[in-house]
Amino acid sequence: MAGLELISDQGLRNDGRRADELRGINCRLGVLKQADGSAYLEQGQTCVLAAVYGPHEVNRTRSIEDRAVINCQYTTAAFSQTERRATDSRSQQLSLQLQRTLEACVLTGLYPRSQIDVFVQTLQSDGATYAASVNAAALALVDAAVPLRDSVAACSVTYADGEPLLDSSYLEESGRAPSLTVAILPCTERVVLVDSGSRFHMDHLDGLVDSAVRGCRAVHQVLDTKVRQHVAATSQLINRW
Amino acid sequence: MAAEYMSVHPFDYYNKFIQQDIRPDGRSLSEFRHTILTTGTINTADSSATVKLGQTFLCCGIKLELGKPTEDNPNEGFIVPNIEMTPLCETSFKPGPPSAYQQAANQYLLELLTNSEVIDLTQLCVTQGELCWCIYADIVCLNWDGNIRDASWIALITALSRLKLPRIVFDEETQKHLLDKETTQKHLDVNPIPVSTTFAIFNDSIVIVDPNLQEEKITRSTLSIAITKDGEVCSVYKSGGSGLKTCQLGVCMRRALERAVDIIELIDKTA
Repeated sequence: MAGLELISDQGLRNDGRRADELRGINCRLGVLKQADGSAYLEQGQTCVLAAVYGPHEVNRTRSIEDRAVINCQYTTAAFSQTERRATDSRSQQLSLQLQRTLEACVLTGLYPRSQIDVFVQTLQSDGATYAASVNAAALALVDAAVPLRDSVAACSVTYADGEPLLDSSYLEESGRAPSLTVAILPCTERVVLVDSGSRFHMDHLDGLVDSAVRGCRAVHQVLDTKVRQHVAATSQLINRW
Repeated sequence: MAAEYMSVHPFDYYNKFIQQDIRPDGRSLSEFRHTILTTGTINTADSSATVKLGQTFLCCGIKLELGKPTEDNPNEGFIVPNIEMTPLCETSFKPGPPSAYQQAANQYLLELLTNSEVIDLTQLCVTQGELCWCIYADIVCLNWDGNIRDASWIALITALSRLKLPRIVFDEETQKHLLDKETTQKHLDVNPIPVSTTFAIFNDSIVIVDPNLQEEKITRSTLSIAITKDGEVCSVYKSGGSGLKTCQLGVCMRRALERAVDIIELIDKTA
């Protein structure tokens, strides 16, 4: 059987999108009451929940003298993918990766000897799960009013038939086509994360990263609008009092 | 001012409300928090249910797998509930293996499922001694504000009652089991559903229904009763702590029965 065609001759993908189209993004801030900040994010069928606690005190062995420690926990629900999976070492690796990504954007220098916890839970996984987690974590940090140097936006891209496909779905990612996840700091346009486990020729790298960065910018625009709407709505409530 | 008083003297703060027969969140002593139930929330799961009991918010997702029955019960399948409480839902949980609290909550679900015989495990058998269905019910707690038992039980039993089992046929030619996609899948047969109600005992004498997190922390013991709407008691669980008068137990039973009627109505009403 020939490989599944990821993009048709008319330039349409399996879910009807064009190569440079993102999936629909829905988000809500402040969904969890226990956490200082939280966000629920949907990118297509991928659903992720993020919670932020802190900054708070941490014991001396773990604290750093001049800045805050960011403690990340990335967990995938066992029912989130087609095959049931309990937590494995990949989640641990992704937790560490998330921590490093967020360290680039949080002003940790303002909170020496303290800890900021970021917990991300994947409820439904349909591709670009890690990118969605980064985006959800960024929203939760905003909701928790943690001072940020810059926001962070992530996007994944799959290279199929000479075309970079933005915001890949599970079907596109799980095939043989190479995939790449990129996270950027939108205002300064600095790349903070590049994650790819696939094999492709280096000539394609620039094109892929450029597409991913464009994708990240687009994601950031959408999320930025939603955050502003949320703040406007919340402050309206405060003004009414 | 009230917040400071509450953090320094939580017990006295709470006592002042109780003496007026009301709780800080405005509920009476026998009032439940608002319960919201939705099904089919997770597309990747074979069946799912999301429950919000006040601010306790959790999601149950069911995945079906095939396995081999045990030698002791060759014509029965398995239902494996698993509650996950990560630091996401409340900071006191640490990452890593489940704490004693989580394991106890898990065990409560497992025992209630087994003892109430709400689902006959023989309907999970495909071929006696060889193949059976394993139902993995993972419950992820997203926000914990007390009373994990009641909320997780509602989510679990609703998800199970909405589960459809695919039909497996044995192909004589290839000597293999195949998934029969043509036949309509059938729902699991569920016996009368018991509903779990948890009470907490405040100050060794006053019983409050559906404790939230703050109430769980200042009370010394809880009582959980699982009863069907027809009055069949499936489980009574009170583990040590404060003592309870026998007449109070009777009052709790009656309250649990009322709750059972309400929750069964909610489950039936939910699409």
